[in-house]
Amino acid sequence: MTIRVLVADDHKVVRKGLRMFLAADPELEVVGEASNGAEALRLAGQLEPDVVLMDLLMPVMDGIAATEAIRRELPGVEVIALTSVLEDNAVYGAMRAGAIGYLLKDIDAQELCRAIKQAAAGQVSLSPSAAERLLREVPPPADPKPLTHRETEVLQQLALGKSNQQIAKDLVIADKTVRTHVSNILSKLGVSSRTQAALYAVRSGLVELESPDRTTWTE
Amino acid sequence: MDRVKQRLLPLALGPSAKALLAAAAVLMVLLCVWWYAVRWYEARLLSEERVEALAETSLRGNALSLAINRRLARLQGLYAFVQVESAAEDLDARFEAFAEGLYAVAQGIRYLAVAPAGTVRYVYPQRGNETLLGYDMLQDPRSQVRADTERAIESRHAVATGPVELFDGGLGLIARQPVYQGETFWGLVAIVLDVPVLLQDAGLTGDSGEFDFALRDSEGQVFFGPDPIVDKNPVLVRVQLSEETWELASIPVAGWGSATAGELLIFEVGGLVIVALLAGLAYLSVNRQARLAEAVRRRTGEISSISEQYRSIFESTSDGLLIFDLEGRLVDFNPAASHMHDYTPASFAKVEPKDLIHPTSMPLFDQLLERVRANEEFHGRGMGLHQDGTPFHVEVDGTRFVYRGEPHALAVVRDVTEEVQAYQLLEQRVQQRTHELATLLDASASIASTLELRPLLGLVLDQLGKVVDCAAASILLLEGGELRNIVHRGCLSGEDPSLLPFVGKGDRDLWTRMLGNEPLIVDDIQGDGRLARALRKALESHPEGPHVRAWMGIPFTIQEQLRGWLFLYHRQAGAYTSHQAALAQTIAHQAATAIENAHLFAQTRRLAALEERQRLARELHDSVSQVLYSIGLAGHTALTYLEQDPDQAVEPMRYVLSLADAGLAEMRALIFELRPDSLEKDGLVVALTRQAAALRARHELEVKTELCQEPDFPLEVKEALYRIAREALNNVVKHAQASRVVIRLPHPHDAAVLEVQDDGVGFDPQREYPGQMGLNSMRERAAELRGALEIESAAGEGTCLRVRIPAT
Repeated sequence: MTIRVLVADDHKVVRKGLRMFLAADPELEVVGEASNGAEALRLAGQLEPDVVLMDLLMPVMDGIAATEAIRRELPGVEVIALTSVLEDNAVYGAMRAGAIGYLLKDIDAQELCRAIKQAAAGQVSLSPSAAERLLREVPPPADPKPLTHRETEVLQQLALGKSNQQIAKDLVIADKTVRTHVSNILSKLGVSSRTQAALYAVRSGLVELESPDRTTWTE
Repeated sequence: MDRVKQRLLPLALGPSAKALLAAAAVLMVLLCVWWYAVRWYEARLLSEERVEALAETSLRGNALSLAINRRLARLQGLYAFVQVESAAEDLDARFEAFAEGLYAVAQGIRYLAVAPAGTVRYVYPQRGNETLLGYDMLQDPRSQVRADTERAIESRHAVATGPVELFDGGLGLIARQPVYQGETFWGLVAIVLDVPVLLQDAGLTGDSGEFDFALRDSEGQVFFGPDPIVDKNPVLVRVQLSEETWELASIPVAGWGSATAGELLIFEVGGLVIVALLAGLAYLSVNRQARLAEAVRRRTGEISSISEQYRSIFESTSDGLLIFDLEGRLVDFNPAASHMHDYTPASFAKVEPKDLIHPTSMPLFDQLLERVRANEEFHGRGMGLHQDGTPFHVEVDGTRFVYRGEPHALAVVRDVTEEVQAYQLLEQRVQQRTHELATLLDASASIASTLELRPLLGLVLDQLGKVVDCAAASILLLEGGELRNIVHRGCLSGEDPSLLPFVGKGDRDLWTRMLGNEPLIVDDIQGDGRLARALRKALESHPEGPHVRAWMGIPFTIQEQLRGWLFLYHRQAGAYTSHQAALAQTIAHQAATAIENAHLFAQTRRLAALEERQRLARELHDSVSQVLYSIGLAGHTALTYLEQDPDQAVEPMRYVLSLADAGLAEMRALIFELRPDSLEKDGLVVALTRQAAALRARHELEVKTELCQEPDFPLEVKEALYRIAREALNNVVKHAQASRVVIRLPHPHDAAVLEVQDDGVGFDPQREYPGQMGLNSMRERAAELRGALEIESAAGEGTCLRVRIPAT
């Protein structure tokens, strides 16, 4: 089953390039193109893609507003911010709006395909520099409660960008147990998303952020 | 009289006082009249009373007289008897019988006596009168009686004497008559009457009624009644006895006037009341009249004084006053008005408005008349004319004015020539001052724009030299924790003063002070003070050091932060005072301001540069980086296909090539942007063509250009057109969702025209759009060159934006 992708970018050259590039991966299918945020929101509602690649600087409605609207109205649609902008509030804004990934337009093209697939599986993808920004920008949880040993292990895995199934497989526990652990972790840390939990893990040294020249920190 | 009046009038305080005076005069006259009337009436009453009294008294007098004479008549009877019977023998008996008859007739006869040869022989009644027998009448001890007796004998008439005190008591009236027989005296007959009885008979005794009576004899002796009556203006009635006359005097019991007193009182009081009423009436009428007269006089005075005042104000006011009728004819004026126009009053009366008003100001005069006719005020400034035709500035107030009962226009004219000239002079000075300031500002701006602080601070020091006496001066800035000389005037002018840091850091106390914010004065740095010693050491290596005696340091701050010091050196000890410190402080302030300005300017420039860089970054992001990213994607794709299915790699490769072209176009357009003289060098047509190419490459839009030959516009027009075109194209890309764009630059006729037309979604040009799509900045650009922006658009109809800039 292919992953259905909606591309939202105001630059036609980028849309066309992306469509061409993603078409080369048989697991991915570009189902639509939007030239601004409003169009992206409309097409997301119509096409119900699995993942939206969202440029942030767009006319009419910017990417962050569109991300927020899509995540609010279509919780099943994951959004990856794909942008050449690297500003603190853009990263933070996109994450707060509910983007599951934040990728710069300078990454290795293969990483893009992988990030789309991870997003479709509910996994966080952050380009390393974006992650650094987030660490600086996102306030630490106000009053985190101590995690159990198992929960810490799960958090480590989560922070490495693994999906629940992968974590279950690697730790040899049931999927359901992983979900319970994740839920407990979120509530104990007082955060609302896996991304924020992963950031907490990075911040508290549970996982090492890999060097920026390496593409991402997954696996 | 008039003089008296004049003298009195000031005293007569007012109308009521005058009326009082008049009333008092009337009262006096009336009182006199009343007095005389009362006296007259009183006299009348009195005379009436006296007449009454006289009547009463006469009555009584007659009664008395009758009573006496009736009784004395008995004497005649006795005389006759004696005449007849004197020779009779039985005279005794006969006398007794006859006398009894006489005696019985009336009361009051004391006795009757017959005295032959004067000696009483017969007396009746004998009882009680026995002692009389033998009494010789001729020898009466009472001289009066004796004299009367003798007179009676001589005159042969009866003589009455009395009243006399009778021997046996009581008051009596004695009457004797001699009896002659032939020529021979025979003797006397006598009768004696009791006066009280007579008086009683006459009704004078007892209750005599309303009157008191008194009797006096011929000697004037009062023998009856109260003595004082005769002194009280009595009514007198004679009572004739035979030879004597008594007088009966009477006055009313209560005195004269008492009976009429009531009547008189009524008359008096009545009279007084009338007098008072009359006087009051006189007062009122005089007072009213006087008041009226006074009011009239005062009002008249007021009116005449007001009118005089008006006239005198009119005459003496320094503003020219001109009265025109509503047709604009001069009717009256004051001397100031004629003087203002250099006319004599006599000749001024004949002038017409056109002689007084400069032709350029005639419309103002018409306006004045018009406003006055409409009963409105007029205020204006214009030009008046002197008699010789030279103009002068006037300020005129016009108002409606009733003159001789008719509406007129009053024009108040003020010569404001001096004021206007002063104002013009002031304006000149302001302009001059503005010019100076502008020059100064230009100078400081040019200095600041070099970002070179030193010349500016040098100027500051030069300025300082004019204000505060010093051998040398320097400005030091606090940089990197030490004070560095930036500029210096003195021994080492010309050398680079920045080489000389202030070496005061070694002394903790001195350095603490240098980091403080207090001006420092050292009278003599060769002296012994702690500060002097520290400073001496600090300035040891300073070229000024050996010569300096007095020293002054003025700190200056920027936004309350110490930024540096102003040092002044003097070769004379004690040269600096707090006054000079204050002066130097103002200079230091300027230095601070100069530094701050320089910093701000630099900051602004940095900001501007930063903005420009950011704009370029955005441009790059929007154009080249997207293209490059896309090239990367397409390249990856091509690589992927080359491994799997090389045929499929062709399309992405072609795309890479086209993208490379597009990137090149974008880069050219960008480089064009970056080169400041590119528009001037390459021209507007080239610039627009490049934009069109970049647009095609970047957005795959169909961009058509309809451009004329490079037009001969001024550079600023070309720049404005190019910027507007770029902004318009930007809008097309961002908002229009168009597939076709046409850029037109038609051959110019009277104006430079540029059009950008698309087939996109269109919009309502009247609506406000958030961010305004740059429309405002486009409008402003056009307006700066007196141009205009037109937009034809509607939803779904595409947009045509046209800018038109007129040829200058």
